[in-house]
Amino acid sequence: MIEQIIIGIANGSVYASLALALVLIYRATGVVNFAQGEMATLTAYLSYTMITAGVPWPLAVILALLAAGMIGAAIYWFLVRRIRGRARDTNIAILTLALFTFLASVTLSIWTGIPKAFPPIFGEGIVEFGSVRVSVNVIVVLIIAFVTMLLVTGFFRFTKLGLGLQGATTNETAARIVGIEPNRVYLVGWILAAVVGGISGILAANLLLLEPTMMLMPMILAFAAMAVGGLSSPFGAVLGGLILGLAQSLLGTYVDGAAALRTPIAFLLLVLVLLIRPQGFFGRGKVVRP
Amino acid sequence: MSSLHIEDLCVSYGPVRALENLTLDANEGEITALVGSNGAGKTSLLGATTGLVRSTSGKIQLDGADIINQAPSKAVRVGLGHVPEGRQVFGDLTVLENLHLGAYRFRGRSAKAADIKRMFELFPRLEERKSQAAGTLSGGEQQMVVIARALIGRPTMLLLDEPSLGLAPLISAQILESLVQLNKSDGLSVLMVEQNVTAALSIADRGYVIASGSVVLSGTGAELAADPTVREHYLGSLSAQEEEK
Amino acid sequence: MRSFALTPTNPGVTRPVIPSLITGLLTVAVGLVCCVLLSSNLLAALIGVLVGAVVAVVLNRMMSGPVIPGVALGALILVPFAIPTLMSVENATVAITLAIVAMSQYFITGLAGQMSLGQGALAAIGAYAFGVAFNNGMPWFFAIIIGGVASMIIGMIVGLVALRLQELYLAMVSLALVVALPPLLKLDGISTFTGGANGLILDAPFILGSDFFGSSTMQYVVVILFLVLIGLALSSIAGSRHGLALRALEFSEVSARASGVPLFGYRISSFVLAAAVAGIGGGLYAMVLGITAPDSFNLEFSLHFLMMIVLGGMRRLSGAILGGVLVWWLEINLDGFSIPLGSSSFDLLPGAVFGLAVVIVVLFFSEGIAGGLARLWSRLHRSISKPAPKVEA
Repeated sequence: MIEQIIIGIANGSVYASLALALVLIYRATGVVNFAQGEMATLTAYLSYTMITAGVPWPLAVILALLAAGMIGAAIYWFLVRRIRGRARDTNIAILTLALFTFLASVTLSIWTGIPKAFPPIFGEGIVEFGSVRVSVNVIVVLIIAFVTMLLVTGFFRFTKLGLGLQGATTNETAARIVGIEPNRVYLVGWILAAVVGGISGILAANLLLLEPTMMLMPMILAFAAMAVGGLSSPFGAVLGGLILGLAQSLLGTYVDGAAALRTPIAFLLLVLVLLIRPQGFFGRGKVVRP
Repeated sequence: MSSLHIEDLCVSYGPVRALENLTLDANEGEITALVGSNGAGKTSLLGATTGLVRSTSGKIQLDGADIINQAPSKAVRVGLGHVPEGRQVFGDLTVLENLHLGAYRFRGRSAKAADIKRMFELFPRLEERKSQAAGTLSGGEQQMVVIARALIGRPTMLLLDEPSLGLAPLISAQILESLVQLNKSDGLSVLMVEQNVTAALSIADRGYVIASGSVVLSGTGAELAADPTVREHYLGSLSAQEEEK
Repeated sequence: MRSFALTPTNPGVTRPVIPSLITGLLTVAVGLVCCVLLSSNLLAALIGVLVGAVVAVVLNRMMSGPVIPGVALGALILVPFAIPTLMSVENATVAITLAIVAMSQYFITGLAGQMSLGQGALAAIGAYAFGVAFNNGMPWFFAIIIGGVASMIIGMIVGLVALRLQELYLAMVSLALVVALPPLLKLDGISTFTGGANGLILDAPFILGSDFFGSSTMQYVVVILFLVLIGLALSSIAGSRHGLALRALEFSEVSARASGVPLFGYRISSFVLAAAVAGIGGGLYAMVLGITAPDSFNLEFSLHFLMMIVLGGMRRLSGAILGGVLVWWLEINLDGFSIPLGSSSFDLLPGAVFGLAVVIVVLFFSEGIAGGLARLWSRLHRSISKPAPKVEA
């Protein structure tokens, strides 16, 4: 049981970090980046290729995250930023969906659809706490996810850019007046989101199998986590992700045929969140329409 | 402190001409008031000065240097503080965070403690509410936040767009009083667009009356307040006040 | 800024449709009959178009209403017979069923402005419902209706969950539905109905042939009839007060609310209607293919319909049909490009091409192909038609 809880939280930390990336972009641009999952998958594949080619894994991960940041920057600067006008949000949504299709295709072409086992970079050991046995993998994933979220929180709490990003997403006119260049801080938001998403992807590859559709189910729960956070609260999204991961894991133990049921359960959890408390438990945006 | 020179400024919104060859000067260390009815172009003027609005032609010079059509985020760096209409606070952020963002153009994330202290001395209400979300404050308090935030940027010229709009007379009097204080103590140049003509002209060193996008009258504050045309068109409330006495 | 059109922008529906319908029907009928009688399909098609054109001229003098669209559409419908190398009749049939689903995407996203990513899932539900009903002995027509009803029910549920909330949530929920559906269909308990991973195979191959026309022709005619009927229905709704309300809703929710438009009611009814159309399209799709496989109804499948309307032109019904046929055509003919990279080559799959195409359209050609064509047409029209001669006093 405790093992299930720990695994649930570990999976939850993947959903939480993905949700964090979604919230970052939502706050910066006002839209959900539907391609976020695919960007994360691509980052995981990039690190996989480098590691299996012999690159020491810390370097491979850093390079992959760098690539992720650049891709995120390019998407914002050359594509998203150019979309303006009345149907802006709809068009950006369509753009991210098109990017999703594009990236999914490219990933499939390059690496094929055969699931791959991510090299056990965190060791293959098993840790025992009394009667509980947990693999080192899971523990390291938890630690990395936790540290990532601390760093992002720190970014917002302690850096000028972080405050500037919050300001720009709250009131763009006021931001200009105090000297913030909105496009620049939004760019930072996108880069940060891409990197956090990339971390989420690499962590997911460690817990699940690396395949092109790896992040589809996590995206569903990341949406649900976002909803728990009222769309705009990073803290709420992270908490939501962890809780949902836990719920998914526990539900899976009580129902038979766990693996096949994961995605339908994820869907159910999303519907539940939207039925029970659509405006989430945090965040300030208006969510319910008349 | 700075002086602003505007010459033959034209601003259009599509086919609509908001400003038509407007010329005025806001001198160093003075309080300059712009009055006029709605739609006369006063907001466009301030917007054009800070770059939020595009100017079609003309000159805008701050201390002799051209600043026309600059990016708005640059305005604060050349010393222009802007208090726009509509009380543009960072609603989701606390009062303190709003103030810190006023120092964005300087190095570091926070404004200097001494500057913050000074703002709280100027606007004690803000200190009481420093950890509250700015969006939850009253209109007057929000206006104070915006002014304080602009002042933290250490402007050499402060532009205000209808600072007393929608505020209770007591609060707006307070705000105008603080502006006078700052002008006297620091020599801060102030360019103020104001609906409350009486109040504006009473504290202004210089005034301009704007109609249909151009200057129609100018003079010292006292001159304009005494001017019969001004009294007739813009000081309607004055007779009511006189009757009260 | 696009100005809000107070009059319906689909004038074609307020003008009488009957003359076009008659000429179109005649064109197709004559063309098909000639195809059977003559050896050259191309000649047959041309005869059909000729007859249609003649009738069009005659009708034009008798009745009011445009006739050219009828003949043009009739000609287009005959293309698979006349030029099978462009697209065979079988492929065209499949394309039309997908175009029907694309029309549902147009209705909910292009017209009602709701970002639904789940039309493919709703089509899948229609497909499976049809399959189960058909395999249990129901006549095909009623089985198709069952498909539509099943999708309507699911659509109602999804709509009730998501449509009270900000628009984003519909996208999320519909996306989740699409991703969750294939695993759900493959589940042990349900797979007894749905045939599991291998899918549902229709028991009796669908033969609706008469001796005269042949099965593939009849299937084609059937789906075309569905397309035309549904298209006319959607078009007239779009031009009606309901459509006007939807456009107002999309343009400015605040003012729509202020004028007393019952927002949620309109949204949910649009969604349910779109679901029904998708279900019917899905049922026809299954009928034509003879098989439904859960993994074919994946996320890519659903996103195809969004791409269809974006490429074809989001604001027009014709855009959906155009996009539907075009995307399917590309899917068949584009095995992907092979980009040589040194010793090996890199295959660019159709998905990548579509993604790129949509990105380009969104950035540069927001009106899509149909929109661009419409603009070209009106410009041509204006330059051809001369101004009325002034009457000299």
